[in-house]
Amino acid sequence: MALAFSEKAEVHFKDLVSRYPNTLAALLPALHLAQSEFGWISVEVMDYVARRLELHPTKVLTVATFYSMYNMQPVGKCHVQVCTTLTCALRGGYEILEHLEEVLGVRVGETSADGNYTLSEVECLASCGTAPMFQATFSDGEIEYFENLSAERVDTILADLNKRIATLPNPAEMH
Amino acid sequence: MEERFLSRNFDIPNAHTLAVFEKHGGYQALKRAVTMDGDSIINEVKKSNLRGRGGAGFPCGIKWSFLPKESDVPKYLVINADEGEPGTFKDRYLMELDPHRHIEGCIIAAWALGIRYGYIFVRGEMQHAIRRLEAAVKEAYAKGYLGKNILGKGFDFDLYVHPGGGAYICGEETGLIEGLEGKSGQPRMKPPFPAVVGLFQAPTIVNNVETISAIPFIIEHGGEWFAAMGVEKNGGPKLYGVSGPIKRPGVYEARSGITVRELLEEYGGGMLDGHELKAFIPGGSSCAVLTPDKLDAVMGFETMREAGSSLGTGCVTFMDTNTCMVRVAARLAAFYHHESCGQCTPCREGTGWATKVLDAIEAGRGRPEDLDLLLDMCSNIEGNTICALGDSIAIPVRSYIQVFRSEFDAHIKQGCCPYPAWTKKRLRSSVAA
Amino acid sequence: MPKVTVNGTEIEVDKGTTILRAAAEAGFEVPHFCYHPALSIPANCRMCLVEVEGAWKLQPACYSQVTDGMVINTKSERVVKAQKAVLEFILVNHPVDCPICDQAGECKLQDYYVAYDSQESRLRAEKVHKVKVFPIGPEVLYDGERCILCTRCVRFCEEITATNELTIVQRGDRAEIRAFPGRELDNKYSVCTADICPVGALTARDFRFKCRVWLLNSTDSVCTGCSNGCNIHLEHFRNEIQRYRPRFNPAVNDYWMCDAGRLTYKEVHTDRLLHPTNNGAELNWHAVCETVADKLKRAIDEVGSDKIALVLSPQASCEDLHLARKFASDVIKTSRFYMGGKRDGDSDDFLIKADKNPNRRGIEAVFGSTTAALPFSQLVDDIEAGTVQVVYMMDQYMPVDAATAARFVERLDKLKLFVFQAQHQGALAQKAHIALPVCSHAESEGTFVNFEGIAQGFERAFAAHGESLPHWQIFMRLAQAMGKPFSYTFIQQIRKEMFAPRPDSVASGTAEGVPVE
Repeated sequence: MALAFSEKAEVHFKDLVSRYPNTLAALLPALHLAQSEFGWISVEVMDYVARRLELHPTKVLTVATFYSMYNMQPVGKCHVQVCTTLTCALRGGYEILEHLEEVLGVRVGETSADGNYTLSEVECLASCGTAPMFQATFSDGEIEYFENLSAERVDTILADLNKRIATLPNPAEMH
Repeated sequence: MEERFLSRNFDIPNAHTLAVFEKHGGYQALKRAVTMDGDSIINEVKKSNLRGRGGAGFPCGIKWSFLPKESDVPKYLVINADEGEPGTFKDRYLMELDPHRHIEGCIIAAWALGIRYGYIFVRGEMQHAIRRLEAAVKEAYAKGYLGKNILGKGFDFDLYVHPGGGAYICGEETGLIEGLEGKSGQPRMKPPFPAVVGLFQAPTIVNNVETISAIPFIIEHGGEWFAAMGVEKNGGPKLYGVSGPIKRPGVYEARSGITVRELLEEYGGGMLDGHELKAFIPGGSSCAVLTPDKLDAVMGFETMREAGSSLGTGCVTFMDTNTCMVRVAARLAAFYHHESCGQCTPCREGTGWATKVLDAIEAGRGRPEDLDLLLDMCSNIEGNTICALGDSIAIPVRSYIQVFRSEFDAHIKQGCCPYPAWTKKRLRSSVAA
Repeated sequence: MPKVTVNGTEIEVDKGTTILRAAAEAGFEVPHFCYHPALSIPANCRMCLVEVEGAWKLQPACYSQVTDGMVINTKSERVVKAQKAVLEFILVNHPVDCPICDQAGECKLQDYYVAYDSQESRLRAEKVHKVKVFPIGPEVLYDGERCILCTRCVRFCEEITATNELTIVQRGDRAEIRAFPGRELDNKYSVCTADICPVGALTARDFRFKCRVWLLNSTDSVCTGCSNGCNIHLEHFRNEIQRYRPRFNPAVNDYWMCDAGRLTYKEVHTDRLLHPTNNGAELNWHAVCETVADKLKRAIDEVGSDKIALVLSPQASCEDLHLARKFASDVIKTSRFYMGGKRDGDSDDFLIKADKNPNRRGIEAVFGSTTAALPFSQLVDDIEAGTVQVVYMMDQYMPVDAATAARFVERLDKLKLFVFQAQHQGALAQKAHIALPVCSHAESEGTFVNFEGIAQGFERAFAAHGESLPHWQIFMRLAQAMGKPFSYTFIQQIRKEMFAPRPDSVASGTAEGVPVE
C-alpha cells in the first residue's frame, strides 16, 4: 500500500515546509513526523519522505541513519531509553536498567514478546540534576522523561505505562 | 537569598504562559529595546561582558559585532538549544519554565542585528521544552511580538522551533547549522565563520539559550549593571548546575564569584550521607577532572583555567570515593565514541580505540604501556580535528590518567577493578555497540 | 601575488592558492587522501596537516589558502607526528589485507605508510567489522573495512555526475558508504569512483583479481569507444589489456571516462582475425599481397577503376586513412569512397558522444572535406545497381540498421571482388575473397581526431596479435605489390603529410595529448 500522511499530519507537514527556504531543511522534523505516522523509518518511509520533499533519497538515508532518534527498525509501543552516562551512572542508572530488564523480561536492545516495550540504553539526555532517568518514546510520537528514579518508582511508572500503551498502535504494524 | 534573574520565574506557576510572564514584567525589555538603535544595544551587550554560556565563553557583544551590517540575503539568528554535554542541564529549565524570556531575548537580538529569521534548534528528545517554546512562540505571534511590523516599528522577525534528530555533535555550532539545513551534523571547516557564511550560506549568529535569555536583563538594567553582577571579564548572573551523589542536585542561579565548595554546600546540600567527595568536573564532561583541593576555586573562566580545568557550562558533576576513575574515563570515552560524527580521522578512529583500551584496563586486561599509549593518543587527536569533539575526549582522558595515575596503575597491576561495580552484569555502556 | 615560504623555499603563487598547491609548486609533496583536485574540499582525512608559523593548530594544507608572507613547514617534527598519528588512526580499523587487495601497489595508504609512518602497530583491540565484497553497483564492489571514509566517491556522485547515488550511513567509526536500499551505484561513470578511491574500498568488478598492478605496463592511449577521445592509460600484461584508466586531460576528459568506454578494450582480444586468407585459405603476407594486387589489377581492367569502392573506417587512425586515400587515388585511381564505422549510440552532456567512432573528424581532416565519402546505405544500392563491382572494406562496422546490413552481406555475392581488411572475424570475413588482419590501436601507433577537432596521438602498447598489421602498412605492401610503392620509412613521414593542407578545424595537440608534429 502506498504511504500517505494522515490529514492532520499533512497540515503539520505543510507548516513544516513553510518554515524554511528549502525543503531539505525540513528533513529532520519531517522524519519525526513520519516516524509518528508510520511507526518507524523503513526504506519505504524514507522513499516517501524524499518524494514529498523532492530530495534524492540518499539525502534522507544519510540523515535517518546519522541521528539516533530515528528508528530504522520497528520498536515496541513504548521505547524505554535509560540514560547511563556519567551522572546517571553515578546515581544508579545501570541499576535502573537492570531492574527494567528483569521487569520487562528483555535484555537491552530487545523488544518484549508482546511488542509493548523496547529497552535501550542512551547517552546523556540533559537530566543530570534529576538522575537517574529514562525517556519513553511512544508510538504516537510522544516523548516523556521520567526522572529521579528508583526501582519502586520504576514499577509505579510501568503500571501507568501499561495502561497508557494499551490503546497505542504497534509501530511494526503502522505501515 | 539574593535577587534572582535568570531563574526568577522558575517557581512562579504558569510563568511559561504569556499572561503570567507579562504580569511579572515580561516583554518590557523588548519594548525598551525597540526605542534603542542596534548599535547602542550591541554596545550595551559589549559593556555587559556577557560571555557565551554554551561552554566556550566567547564574548557575546564581540560575536554580534562580527555580523555584517549590510547583507544581500536575510540574516539568521540560531539558538543552540542542543544541550547534551554530560553533566549539563541548565538550558532545559530556561526553555521549559521561562520560554518567553528566551523568545524576548531572541527578538531583541534580531532587532539589534537586523535579523529576519530565527531558529531555536532544540534537542529532539526535549519534547516538553519544544512544546513549551512552540506554544510561547504562538502566543508571541498572536500578541504581535513576532511576525510583521513588530510593535509598530516596521520590523519583521519570524522565529521557529526546530527539533534535532539526536546527535550530540549538533551542539557544535557549525554541526548545528548543518543539522538545521537538513544534513548530518558534521561540523564545517572554519573559516568562514557563521557570522559571515552560516545558515543557508547567509550571515548567522549562533548563541546559546542562556546567553540569549540574559539579554532582556541587559536591556532592562544596562550593560554596566550586568557587568557589575559578574566578575571581571565575565558579566552577569549565571545558572549553575550541580549533580552527582549530592543531597540537592539541580540548577541554581548563584552569585558570581562563587566557589565550587559554596556551590556544593550552599546549593547542592553537600555530599549524600556516607559519601565522600573524590573528584569533580566543573562544567561538563569535556572539562578536565579536578580533586577536592580545588574546591575553593571560583567558578570563572580564568580561575578554572588556573585550577587546571575550564568553566565550560558551569554545571558541576561531583563524584564520590566509591567511584572508579578508570571506569569514569572509559564511560566518557564511550560517550564521545558514540557521538563522534565520523567525519575526520583522528576523532572517528581515536575515540573508539581509546574506549577499547580504557575498557580493557577497567576489565583488568590493561598493560603498563597502555597509559602512555592513551596519553599519546590524546595528543594525537587534540587539535588535529575539524571541530572540538576530538579535544573533548582528549582533555578529560588525559586528565583522569594524570590526576589518578595510581588508580590506573592499580587496575593494571591487580588485573581487576578494585571499586564496587555500577552494576552486577556490565562493565560499561553498550550504547555504541 | 602572495609570497610564501615552504620549508625554506620562497615562492610566489596566485592569490587563493591552497597551501597544498603552493607546496607542490615549491616541490614538496603534502600527503592527502580526501583531497582531489576536481572535487570539493572537506578536509576530513587530516593527512595533509602542515605547520604554519603563528598558527596554534596544524592547518589542513588542502583547505587553507596562503596569505602573503606565510611561512609553511611540511616536514616539522609536529607535522611528522601528526602524519604518523593520522596513518595510525586510519589503520586502527583497516584490515591491512594488502596481499589480497587489488589496490595494493597503487594504494595511497600503503604508499604513505611506507613514506610517512613505518611504525609497528600498537593496536591490541578487536577491529570494527563492516561489510565486505558489497555489490554497491553493477561495475563496482565495496569493502567497508578498507574504506577510510574520505567521501571522494560520494562527492564524485554529487558534483561530477550529479546522480547522488552514494552517501554515508551511520556515524562515527560505524559509518559506511551506501547507495539507497534497492538502488545501486549505476551511473555511466561509476568505475571512476574506484579510480579515485585512494584505498581498496571501491574496486572495479572487471579488474578484480585479474592482475597485480605492479605487473602492469602502462601505455598512453586514447579510448576508441566514442568520438570524445578520452585519454587513457592502456594497462596491459603479457600482450593483453587488463584495464583502461582515465588519463588527465583538462581539454578532453579531465580525470574521467565512462564505464562503457572502459570496457571497449575487450574488443581487442575477442574474435580477432589473425592471418591473411584467400577464400578461407591462410596465406602469408607476401603471397596474399601478390594475390590482391593481381585481383585488383584484373578488376581495374575488367570493370574500370570507377566501379571499385573503398569503405573508409572512422575507427582507423589518420595515418591509416591517409594511406587509404593515397592508395585509392594513386594506385587504384578511384575516388569512390563510402563511410563505414559503427552506428550512433547513446550520448549524454558530459563525455559520452553518440558517434561511437574515435576518428570521424580524422577522415574530414585527412580528406579535407566532410563529403568525401558517400553513405553506406548508398553502397548497398550501388552494388545492386551494378555501379560498384569491387569493394575494398576497412573494418567490419556497418553504420546501418540490421536489415540493410543483412542486405549488404547478401549483395556481397554479386561482387567481382570483396577485400576485407579488419580486426575481427564474422559474417563479412567469411564472405570475403580476401581477408586481411588488422591490428588494434593497442598494437599500433597513430592519431585520432576527436569530435572537437583535437588531434591526439596514441602509442603502441604491445606486439600485434597473430599476423595482423596496421591498415597503413597493408596499403604500403599492396602499393608495392601493385608496382606503385609509397616512399615512407617511418610513420612520422605519413604524419607530416596527412593533414596537408591542414583544415582549420584541427587544433594542434593539447598539453596531454601527443601533439601532431
